[in-house]
Amino acid sequence: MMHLLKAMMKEEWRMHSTMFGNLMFSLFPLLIFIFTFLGNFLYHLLSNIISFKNSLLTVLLFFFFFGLSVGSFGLLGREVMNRRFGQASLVAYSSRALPISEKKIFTVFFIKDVIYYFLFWILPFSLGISLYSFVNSIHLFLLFKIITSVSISFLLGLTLSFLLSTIYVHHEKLAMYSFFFLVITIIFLNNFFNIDLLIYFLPFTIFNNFNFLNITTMIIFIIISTIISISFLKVDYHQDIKIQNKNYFKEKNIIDNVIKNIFVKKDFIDMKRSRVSYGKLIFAFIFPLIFIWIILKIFITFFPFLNFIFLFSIFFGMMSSTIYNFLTEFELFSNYSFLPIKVSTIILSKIKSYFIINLISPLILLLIIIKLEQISSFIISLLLLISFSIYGLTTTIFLTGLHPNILLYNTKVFLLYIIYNLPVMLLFLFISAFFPNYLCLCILMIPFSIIFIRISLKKWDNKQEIGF
Amino acid sequence: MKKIIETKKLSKHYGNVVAINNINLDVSFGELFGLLGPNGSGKTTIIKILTGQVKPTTGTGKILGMNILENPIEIRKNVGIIPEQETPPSFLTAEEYLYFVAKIRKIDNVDKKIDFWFDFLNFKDRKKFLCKDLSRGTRQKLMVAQAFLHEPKLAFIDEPLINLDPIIQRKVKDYFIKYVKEGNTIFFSSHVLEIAQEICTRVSIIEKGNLIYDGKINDMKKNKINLEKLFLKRVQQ
Repeated sequence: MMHLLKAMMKEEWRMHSTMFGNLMFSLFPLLIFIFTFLGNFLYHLLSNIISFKNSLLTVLLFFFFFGLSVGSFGLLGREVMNRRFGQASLVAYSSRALPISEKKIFTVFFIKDVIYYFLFWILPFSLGISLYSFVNSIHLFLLFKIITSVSISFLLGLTLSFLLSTIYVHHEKLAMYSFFFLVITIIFLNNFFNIDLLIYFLPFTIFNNFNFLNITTMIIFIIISTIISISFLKVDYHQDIKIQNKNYFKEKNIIDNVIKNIFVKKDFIDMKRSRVSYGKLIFAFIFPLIFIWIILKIFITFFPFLNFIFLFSIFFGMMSSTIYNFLTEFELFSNYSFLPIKVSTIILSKIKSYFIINLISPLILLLIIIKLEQISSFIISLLLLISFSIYGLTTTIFLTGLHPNILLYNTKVFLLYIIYNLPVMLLFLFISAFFPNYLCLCILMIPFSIIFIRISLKKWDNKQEIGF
Repeated sequence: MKKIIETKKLSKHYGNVVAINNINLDVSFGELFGLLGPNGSGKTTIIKILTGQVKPTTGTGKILGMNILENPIEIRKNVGIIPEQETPPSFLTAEEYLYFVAKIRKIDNVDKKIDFWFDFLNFKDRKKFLCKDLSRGTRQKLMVAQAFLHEPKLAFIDEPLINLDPIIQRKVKDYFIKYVKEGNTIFFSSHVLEIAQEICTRVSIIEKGNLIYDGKINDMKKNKINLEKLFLKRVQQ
């Protein structure tokens, strides 16, 4: 058991250090420690306008979503790794070749995730906040409450991710319906009964009602969920081989009238046939959107002079640019590199697919604007959404080419991404607060982005295609 | 004889690792040239450099008279390549993949050509299967078909027969021999010496990025040199 745990810990380290670079990844815990420590000072300075409740809720939600993402990466790890590095195999999937049961491997896998991410995220966070509490003499019990709630939040996200994935493997439709039911229930309760569901977020209630019984109940819930996930685990679940009678590249079909580009057509065939991808697209779009909504709702309470819908449009635009990351996950350029195709040809086709998928964004914005009864803001919000979406896409392409899912994890590239985007976002937040009549200037970002994309295409054609 | 492949002092370094070192290699029109070497000796790197998929660290080369640094797309338009890893797109069917490649290569009226390959390699019953559901052998058949769909003058073939059954191996080997007799050229990379000895007209051996032998198969036969013995002797030296 221990040797397996050690092997998995090493594997996780090597996987991350391959993605981020050894030194960069080693510095991660230190960065979390420093950011937490300094973040507390910032909070102290702004404590008059930022309520403790909202700050804590933000931190707890962050660790919850982080736990969710760690869990989903754990289960989809092989797929992700294969896309990023070509053929890759994780220890977790070696049960077929080794005399160890899948359940045993995944129990160790779960323990590894808990230990690894506690060491690399929760511990530096806890040390950062502890150092601050030492400097500012915060009550030890409060410190203990915060660290416990944060740990529970992370574990809850991790466990739920495993549980949802297990349900998904057994009953794909049930998992999807459950998810939609949950989202609709939240929206319904929030809108029609005006219930602030966030205060019922379990780790937050644990913090507010901090006692032995509540913590024990929560831990038992986490353990039971994990046991259920492991008991019903399926690693390589059987999928029937389906015969596809339609040949989208031979026969004339409706798609041909709309989509001429064969690579764009292929993107949509990929999505249609890998039903998982539709699900993932929804997760990739809806989840961050809900997250942004919640965070901005909290954020706007700190800065009431900002217009929520403009703020939301800017962030929504930036977020929608992540659809490009999703589109580039489908394949490696090396799968095409033996054909007479330039990198720019594939990038351009991804841009086209991106715009087609993103047609949904203005509709979502319109629904939100109708809900908020701010129809008069629609045109400006739409311009902000489109401009920021294009600008975010442009900077992503310039910095990462066809590899946003790898290069954005590179600290240097990520910092450049922030440098390219953050000042522009801040500028327009400033304009939205003090000179809202000038917000339409955001359309200037579009011609700028077009020039920038042309430069990027040349850059990636000239650059040696990286074999990740 | 007129050269179809010419390289001058090609080297490729990945950080501190030297993948290939000062390679000077010429292949003439109509040759079935075999590049042999142990695993990791640099065979695939050479093919990738010659077909413009990877840039060399130093040196240069010409394929069909085109510079590998200046015309990578033109080169790939004019040659066929069977890559080492058979990775057709997961969610296209075998048949769709060949039409997809035909559209990329701008080949018209491919129906008959595609049908030929499904018949010839005996996998007609799999043409409506998604590539992800195909066995490795069938995927390799697909990669053979895509490389020859546009009937190129020169084909680069990286370990093409490993996953194929003996019947299909025989057919593919005979196809390669016939293809070369018709005036075309094949650059064949492998570590399976029996196949190389059987079908190649000339072989080179590469080890740790260095070319350590070059010779014609006919000369070897005349001098009663066994390729396997020669390979083991040279590589183990």
